[in-house]
Amino acid sequence: MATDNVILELRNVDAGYGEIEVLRNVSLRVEHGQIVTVIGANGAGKTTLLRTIFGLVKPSRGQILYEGADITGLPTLELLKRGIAFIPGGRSNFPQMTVQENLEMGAYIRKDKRQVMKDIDRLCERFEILRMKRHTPVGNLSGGQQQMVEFAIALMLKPKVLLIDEPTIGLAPLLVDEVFRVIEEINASGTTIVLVEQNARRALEASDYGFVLELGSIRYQGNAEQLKQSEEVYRAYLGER
Amino acid sequence: MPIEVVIFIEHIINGLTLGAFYALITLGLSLIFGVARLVNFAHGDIFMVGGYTLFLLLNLSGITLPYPLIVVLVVVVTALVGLLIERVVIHPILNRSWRVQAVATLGISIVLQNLALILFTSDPKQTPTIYSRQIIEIMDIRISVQRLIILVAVIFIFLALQWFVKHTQTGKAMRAVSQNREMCQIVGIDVPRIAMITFAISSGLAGLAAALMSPLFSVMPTMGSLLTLKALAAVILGGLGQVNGAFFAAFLLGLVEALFSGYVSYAYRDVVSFGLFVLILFVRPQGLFGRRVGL
Ligand SMILES: Nc1ncnc2c1ncn2[C@@H]1O[C@H](COP(=O)(O)OP(=O)(O)OP(=O)(O)O)[C@@H](O)[C@H]1O
Ligand SMILES: [Mg+2]
Repeated sequence: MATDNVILELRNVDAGYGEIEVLRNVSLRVEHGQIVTVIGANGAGKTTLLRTIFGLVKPSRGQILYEGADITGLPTLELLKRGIAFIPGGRSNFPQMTVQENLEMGAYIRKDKRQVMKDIDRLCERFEILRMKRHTPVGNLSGGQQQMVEFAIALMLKPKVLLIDEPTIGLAPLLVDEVFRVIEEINASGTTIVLVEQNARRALEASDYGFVLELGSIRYQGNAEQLKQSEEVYRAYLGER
Repeated sequence: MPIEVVIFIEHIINGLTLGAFYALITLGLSLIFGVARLVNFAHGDIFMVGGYTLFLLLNLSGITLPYPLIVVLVVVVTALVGLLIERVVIHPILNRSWRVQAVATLGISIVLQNLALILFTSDPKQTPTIYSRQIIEIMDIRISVQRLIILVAVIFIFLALQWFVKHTQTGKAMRAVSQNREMCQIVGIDVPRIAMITFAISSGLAGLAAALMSPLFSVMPTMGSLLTLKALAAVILGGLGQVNGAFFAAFLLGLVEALFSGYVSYAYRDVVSFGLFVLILFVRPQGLFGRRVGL
């Protein structure tokens, strides 16, 4: 990987919750404009990795660099301002607020409120579900529709790096395709994506690069193609050949 | 009009006023609960602070302030007291367990009551305004102007608050915090700041209740204790965290209490409101309005 094209880098990061150490000596680099997937078993530390990058978990050792600057230990608010956004797994929206209001909350830290309204209009044109359900409380939408709203909330800040945790969990296969289509579209418009996905095969198909996390450490990494062809990765994460 | 009907209507009006008063207290308590997930056992005591502030402002030597100005001043003072309490006591324990929070707010309650006892003694203080003795009579029905003021003010405040949480950035953030705190962090909503603002608003509402209602009663150091419990009952009845539900439950409580003390027994009115509370929870454990009403 060419160093100058790296947008996000972790150097020897340890992180966890109090006494519980989850990430051990994690080093990884994410190139600008790519889709990068992190795969791993339940409890491997994938969510913790994303939360650490996003400043919700403080590393006990190591460095995190973003656009060449050291962002280790910076508060989440500062990272949001610099262009990192996070879509957590599970339902991460404001269920009793309308789609419109959820998007407004996505833009909470922005000062240009007039432009925010235009951006919401634009997103509603781009995603039909948002347009149709604009004034419906998000809690009344289906799981797939809520996932789309959650993407849109994150897009309100026009992030340069988008961290996405298990976006297809509990969705029907048809919707899974839709979610990946949206992820690829967001990526095509210039956003670098770090994706955690339990559907490893599908995720690698959409990705440029992949990391395999095992017990809090990077066990394998490589181009998505290489990972798919790796005998060991295949057996452990992609099912029998 | 037959005297029975007149009396009945007067009881209803008294009930509505009492309900409006409870609703104002409850509104503040349930806002804090919704936003900070914290039961403020000192809420009634902030009301008491408002009562003494009113007393002081009514008895300023040399100047007589107009009542509307006094009301505004009481609201400002209680909001500031609330802000101070939030900064010093609540802020450090926002993410602690409910036990820690309960002990802390009970502590505030004890401190405020004893401060009042030292400063003002336990003698009840009268806080009459020019409106508390003014009576208007419509078709034999006699209503004190002070009660009318309360009714109108509370309905106005309720609508204003509705507007505030629907149409302002801070109001929307308050709803957001009450619905998904974790997500607020992720979009950059400053949860402690929103909690602080909510605490100030809530305390100001308790102050407003004091400025409007104390002229009909008297002011005492312990006047807030029972009120906190009644408001808490209304909050639970309305469905926890449901501000509108709590508001209507408080009205209901006031009506029932007024009718009971009018027709059966004044002495047992508290027994009835808490009895009703237990009974309703027995039938509808999720509260009267379940989870549907929303902040
Ligand atoms: N808030 C927390 N406090 C303490 N331990 C935690 C916390 N969150 C996660 N853990 C622990 O950290 C380890 C890694 O959890 P993490 O959620 O990062 O794994 P994951 O790879 O995302 O798993 P999954 O596939 O189930 O989402 C687990 O052992 C988990 O029990
Ligand atoms: Mg996870």
